Amino acid sequence: MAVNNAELTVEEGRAHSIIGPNGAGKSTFLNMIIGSLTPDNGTVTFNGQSLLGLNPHEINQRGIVRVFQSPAIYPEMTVIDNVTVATLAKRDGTFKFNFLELPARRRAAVAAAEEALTEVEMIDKWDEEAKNLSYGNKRRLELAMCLAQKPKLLLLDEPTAGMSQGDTAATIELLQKLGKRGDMTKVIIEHDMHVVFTLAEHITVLHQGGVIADGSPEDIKNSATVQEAYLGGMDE
Amino acid sequence: MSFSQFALQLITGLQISAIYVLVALGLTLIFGTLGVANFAHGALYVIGAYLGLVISSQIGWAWAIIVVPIVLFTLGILFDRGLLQFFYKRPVTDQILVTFGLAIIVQELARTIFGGTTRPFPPPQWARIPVELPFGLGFYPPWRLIIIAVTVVVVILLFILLRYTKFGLMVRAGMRDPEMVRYLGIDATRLFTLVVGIGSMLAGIAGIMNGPAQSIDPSSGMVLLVPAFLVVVIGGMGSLVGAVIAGLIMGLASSFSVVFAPQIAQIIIYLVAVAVLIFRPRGLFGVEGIG
Amino acid sequence: MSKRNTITKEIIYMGIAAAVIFSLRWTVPLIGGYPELATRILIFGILVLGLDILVGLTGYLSFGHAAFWGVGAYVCGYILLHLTQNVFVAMAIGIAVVTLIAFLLGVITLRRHGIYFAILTLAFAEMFYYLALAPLQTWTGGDNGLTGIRRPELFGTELHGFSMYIFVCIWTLLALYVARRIKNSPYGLMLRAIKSNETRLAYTGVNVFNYKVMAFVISGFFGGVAGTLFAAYETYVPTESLHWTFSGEIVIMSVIGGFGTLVGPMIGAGIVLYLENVLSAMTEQWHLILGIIFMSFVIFLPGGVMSLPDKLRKLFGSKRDEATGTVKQQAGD
Repeated sequence: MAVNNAELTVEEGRAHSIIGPNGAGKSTFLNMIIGSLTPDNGTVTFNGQSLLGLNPHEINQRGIVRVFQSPAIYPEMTVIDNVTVATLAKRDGTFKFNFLELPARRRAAVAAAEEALTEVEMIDKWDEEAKNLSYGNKRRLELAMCLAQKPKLLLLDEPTAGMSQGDTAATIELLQKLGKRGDMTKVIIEHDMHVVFTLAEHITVLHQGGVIADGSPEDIKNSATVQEAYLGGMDE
Repeated sequence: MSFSQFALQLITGLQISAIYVLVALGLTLIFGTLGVANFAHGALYVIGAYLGLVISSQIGWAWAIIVVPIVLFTLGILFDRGLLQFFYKRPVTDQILVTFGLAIIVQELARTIFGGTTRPFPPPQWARIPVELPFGLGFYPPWRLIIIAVTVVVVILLFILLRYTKFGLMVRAGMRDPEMVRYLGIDATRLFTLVVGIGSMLAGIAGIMNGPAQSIDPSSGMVLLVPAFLVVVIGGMGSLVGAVIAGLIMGLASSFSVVFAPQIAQIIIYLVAVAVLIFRPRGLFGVEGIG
Repeated sequence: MSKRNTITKEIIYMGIAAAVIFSLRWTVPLIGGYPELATRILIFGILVLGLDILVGLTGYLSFGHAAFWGVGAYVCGYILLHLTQNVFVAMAIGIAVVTLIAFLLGVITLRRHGIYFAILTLAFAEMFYYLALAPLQTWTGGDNGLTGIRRPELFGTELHGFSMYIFVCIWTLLALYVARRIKNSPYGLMLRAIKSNETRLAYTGVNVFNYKVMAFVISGFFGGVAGTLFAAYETYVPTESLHWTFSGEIVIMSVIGGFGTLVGPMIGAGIVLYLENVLSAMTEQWHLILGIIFMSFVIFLPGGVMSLPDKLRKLFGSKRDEATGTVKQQAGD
């Protein structure tokens, strides 16, 4: 059982981080929210509505957007096309019968894509093929794709995993900038404590599938339970 | 129907199953280990059949039985080293296309060399006289019994190979988790090549076995390919047990439907396949994660 | 990058296409073909166009396209033979039947990916073939195929020879235009995303399954148009129309032309049919030659004839192309 008796409440507009030693069940937890895993029992509620049993695309349309562990982009398509897919998906919903629509009609969607790219500072690369981007830029592209959909809840699964110091710093900066908006809630799963304590306003600690601590960064830093969980035999 | 009729249909069904099993085992081995859908598998079968025909008629059956599996095994190795290895990383579509292209070339070469008409493929002398079956079942062509016997032996040998040798362990591990095989430092290249060799050998054996039962023409390979793939898919891609069980089901269904519902005898195999795939998409014994 | 610029480009493109299509009847004999070959090439062109919308855009390789062609041909042929000679009625019913079958097949087969999908489409096509051969042979003529179809009529005049050719030309041009519209629409973008990273698209809020089924249905629709035209043109439907090896030939044409380019497969159809015509007169081994040509393309030039200019450019290292505008890119290929 990867996650057992875990309860988590996230406040709107906050940056909430989930941490825990390896094997704590963080990714499983995230997968249950995003719809790729179904919990055996329990509820997942968003804005008062249950998310259980919904398909990934339906969950996305409710405003919950996920950033993957390794940047999930469309390699053969250009950067601008990558983001336009996201804006069009937002515009048209899960399915639209628009297979004859002329390119001119999607100007608004393209503009929204350009806006998102500008926000992540990648607008100059709009014409490049996504597969040719550096790792850090792929991460930015993915963020642009997610932002372009104006998410209510952004789920980030180890966003700085495998990144160099420079890239990590840049990513933190980007996420901080986005954090200025009170309208977007962020849930970040992270291993890098520096990232966590810089960004998070609220932290939940998972250990062996259960919640062992939940509170402000100060509380967590000072919590003995947390220290024991991390140092007591679990590898980082 | 009477008991003897039933028994005879059963034996015929088992014979048809035997051929399906041989071909499907090779297909599922290759797909489970390399992840390649080998559309040229029918071509390997046809090569085995024609080669068997030539050797048995020119030199003798004893030689044919020995030479065909060896040649097909070698061809399999050449096939992997010479063509397949360049397509491991290419998308599935390309793999299908290149093996399909090879299948066409082999078929047309066979047509050029042997002509397009069906060739009779006589079994060994001693197998031409119908034998009397026990339990008063009447007379039956012995070659069909040979097919069943040979297949049983081959399947047992294959399972022994896979279960009790180090090579077999690697193959089974690779079929369950291809990534893991690479991490364990096992020479995947050699593994793949040997697997293709074995798979090709199985197809070749099927060819030389089935030739006398059904006679051959250049398109036999293509004709067999679709049912063979369906057997693999029904059994579950990457499952050896599945290939055997599904082969049995299909062979028996095919045999009995000729008696009970001759109009749909040809399409029974497709109906079964569709039914299984709708209700159990990964096949009867399918391994999660493949396909 | 103005709207006018895009429209002009489109008009020029379709203009050139129209010129090529409508002049085929006279250009083909110049290189050793015969006038009727042009009509054949165009009908096959519509068929491969449908295949390209599915394979070229979504990446799902179907080996069952013969089913759409064959069913369309049989239904249309049957109607022309027994019910009416009105070409629109016969075609409409044929296309409707094919589209319905495409929908049902799509819903069943598209639940699986890659190889499974290819095999399933293969299996279904074979099923149709055997159905036509035996159980339904009173309708299909069984082994002999459907013979003696009466010539179709359009507004009272019989269509054959030159009039049939013009009729087919119009359909071909229309098919190409619609196919391009589809490719350049948001829908086309989604299909390309499916090919590129299907899981990602699902997490972006798109009901991928629905999009795949629609692509399959559209592809089947084109196949239905081509099949019905074929019955009307040939006045005979051979059983081989449904055989899976015919599906294979369609795939070969598309590979030689170049999947994903729309016109590529059409050119591929032209090449294959032309070669078939010329080579089969010279040698019995024409199929072998086709097989070798096909393999060569798959191994050395998988992007088909359409990718040749790019390959040559890379080979001779000419200067890089400048970046083109977004709008141009969307309206272009």
